[in-house]
Amino acid sequence: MEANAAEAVQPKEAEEERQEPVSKKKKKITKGKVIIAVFIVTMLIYPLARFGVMWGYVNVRALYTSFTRYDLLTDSNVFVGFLQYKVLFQRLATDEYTQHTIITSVLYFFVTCGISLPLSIVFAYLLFKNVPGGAIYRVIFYLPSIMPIAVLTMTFKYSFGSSGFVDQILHSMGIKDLPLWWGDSTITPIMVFAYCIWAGLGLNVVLFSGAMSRVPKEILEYNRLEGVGFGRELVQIMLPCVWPTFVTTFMLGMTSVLTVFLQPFFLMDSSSTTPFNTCTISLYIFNNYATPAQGPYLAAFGLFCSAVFVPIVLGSRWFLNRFFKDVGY
Amino acid sequence: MSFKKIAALALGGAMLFSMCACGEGNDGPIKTPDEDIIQADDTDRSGWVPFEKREFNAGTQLRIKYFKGGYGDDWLKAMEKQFEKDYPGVDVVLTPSSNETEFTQTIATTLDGSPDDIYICHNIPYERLSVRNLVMNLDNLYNSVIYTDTKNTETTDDDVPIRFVDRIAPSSLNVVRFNGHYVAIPEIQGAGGIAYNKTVFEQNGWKIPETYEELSALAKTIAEGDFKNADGEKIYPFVWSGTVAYMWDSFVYDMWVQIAGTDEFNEFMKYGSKDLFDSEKYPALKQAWTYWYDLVCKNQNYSHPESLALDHLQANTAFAAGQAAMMPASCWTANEIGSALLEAFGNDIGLIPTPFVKEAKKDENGKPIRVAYDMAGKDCMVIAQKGKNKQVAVEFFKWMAIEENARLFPENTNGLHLAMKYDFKYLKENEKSTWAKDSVNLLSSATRFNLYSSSPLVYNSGTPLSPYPEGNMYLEAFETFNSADKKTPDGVFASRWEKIQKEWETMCQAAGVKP
Repeated sequence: MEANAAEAVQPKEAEEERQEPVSKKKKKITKGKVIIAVFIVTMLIYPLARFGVMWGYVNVRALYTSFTRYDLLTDSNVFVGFLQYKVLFQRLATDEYTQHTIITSVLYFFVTCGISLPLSIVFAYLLFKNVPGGAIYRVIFYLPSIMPIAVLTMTFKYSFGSSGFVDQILHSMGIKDLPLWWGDSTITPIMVFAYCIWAGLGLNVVLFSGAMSRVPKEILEYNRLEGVGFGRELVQIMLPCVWPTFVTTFMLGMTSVLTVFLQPFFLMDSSSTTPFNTCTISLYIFNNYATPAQGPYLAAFGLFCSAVFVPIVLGSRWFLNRFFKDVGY
Repeated sequence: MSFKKIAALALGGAMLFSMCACGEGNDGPIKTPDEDIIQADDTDRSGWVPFEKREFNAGTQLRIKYFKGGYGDDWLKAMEKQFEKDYPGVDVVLTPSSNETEFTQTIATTLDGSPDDIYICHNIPYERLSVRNLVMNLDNLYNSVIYTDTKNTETTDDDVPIRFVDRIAPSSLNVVRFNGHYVAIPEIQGAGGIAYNKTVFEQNGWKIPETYEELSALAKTIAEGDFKNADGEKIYPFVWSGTVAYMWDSFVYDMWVQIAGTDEFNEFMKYGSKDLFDSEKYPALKQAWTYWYDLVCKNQNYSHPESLALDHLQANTAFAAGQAAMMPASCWTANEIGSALLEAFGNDIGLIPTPFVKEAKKDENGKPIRVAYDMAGKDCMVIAQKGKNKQVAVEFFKWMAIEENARLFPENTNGLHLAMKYDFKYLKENEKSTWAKDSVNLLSSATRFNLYSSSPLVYNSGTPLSPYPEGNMYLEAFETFNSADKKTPDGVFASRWEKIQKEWETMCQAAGVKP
């Protein structure tokens, strides 16, 4: 066995000897390469450091914190194993407020990806087809995206109700029995969703308009000659052509389940308990983080939601990418 | 080094880290002095001589950072002016901030750097800051002499010191003691009840209700009558905000403590046993909540029809406009609405103490005992341990405890008072607005209480324990009243007891106490 091994080694060593001059030659570093390397490292330092601190450190710290409880007298965290997760599962099973918070958050997926995204594509396509007044519509769509959210939410909120113009219009149309837009556990979450759709359309429309404008004119010309209708062109031609943009926007829309909090916060004048089934996962965490004692439970809550949801996001991405191959034009 | 070795080292490090993190927690309530503080008698203030002022070098600064919120800052500016006059060498620098986070979330970092001398805000985490030695221990301040009572009495010929602690409103003292020490100064003494539109009351000849039955009858009269405000709009008995429905707490908690008495309430706030949540054994809170339910939920026409949808600002405006005769309120309500808005609508408002329920505890003369919930219990002032001029800050608070200086607060707000023992007789004679007069009457006649608790179930807990572990349920009860799954008092309190029974052990573990 040893002899065989020695024989096996010898040719390898001989080969390395033969290759040595070549490898030495390869290792010669030119001044230009050094400059490029310095440039790359310099450009990467900030994003990597930021990633390390804002993502790596924060998540590791949150993970550790979720296995502790706070002790005020020593101002420190004490290891308690899975206790916070036990509390969390108890609440998920029995606490109505926690249950509604999860349900409302999940509904944002359907609102963003099921309503807002298709609407954005349709509006972007209509603008792309140069409907009359398209330039004005583009501004109108995008305007909410450039206004401060505090102003926008107040504008939207006070448009409804006894002193809002929407109610007055509806009254003038003979519709008298209007609901309490901002004080009803069924209607109010829908109002918050409606706001998100209204305010969120602009950015997506701009993204899809940009992607559609890159579709070669020859394809569109061919469609016209073949007599392809608007609907078919949108679904069978444009959508595959802008599929990468669609996938990206869809993924961003999915993450709204874990990220939406400012909209209900401003619309509902939030204190620690956001009323009428409008609380979301991140708003719950935001509203309740007042003292370090609350950190461990909230860390467990946030991590649990991430652990459940991130695989779903990644799975969806894998699934969507299987539909169309990247389109090059 | 192979991957396996690196992984083994990493795991070992993680285990060591975890073991280091394991430690003994706190198993009991936070230490507070067992004996109640006995304060000096201040019924006769004749012969009181204030302390001798210190002198400071010219150019000495006193830096005060404060949250500019509902109380405004006219009072602080008035104090700045007067303090600089009384202490010619001192320059008071006021720094307002409307960013609450600076006082609650990031204050530890600020105090560990180059802080200002004094911080004023609600919810300053002074307990944690004191553990980290970032705020000054104020035991010496609380023991310092503010006045010397020079009059000789039958019992003593000696001068009697009136200390700083004797000047603080007694019901606010429990809030600022932590682990056996004074670490903060309570800012205001609050009391709530029901705000009423005095103009509308007088126009329609309605009397201020003193009992729950009178309140209920008045609400029925208003709801069923055809009463209009100056703009011809219907007047409803109540308006309130769905987003801050907790404003009903003053009403409900007052009735709770009327029924239970302060001793039972104080026992409850220790959270020493889960049985406290058993409404069979301790029925007072359920009774109080039921009174609210009977008044507000069972009579939906007593509330302004948009109450659920109104935010705090809108509810205040609707009340100021006279769209409702009454509104659940706390001491800062008038200040928050503002005199300009009230003048614009031509309305004057006052404060009705929570009416007495028939089960209310009685005093030795058979009169029901007045109590008042202090919603602003954790508004406070602290001195930074690393402040450059701590002694000037201490002198400032001693100076603030002098009656004339303390009055600058109510003189520059509407019906708000520092947590000091004021000469209420003087204030009653000199307050100008209806609201301020009503506030003084309430403060001078009521035993105040707050929800402060020294239990680890509050301090160490991820979800601080409260009398309502599932929330106060005001909104849910009101909204679901006409539906099949309505929240009734029996259902709400049975559910509360069930939750506590199920989760008490876990709650205790999460707070580091033995169940």
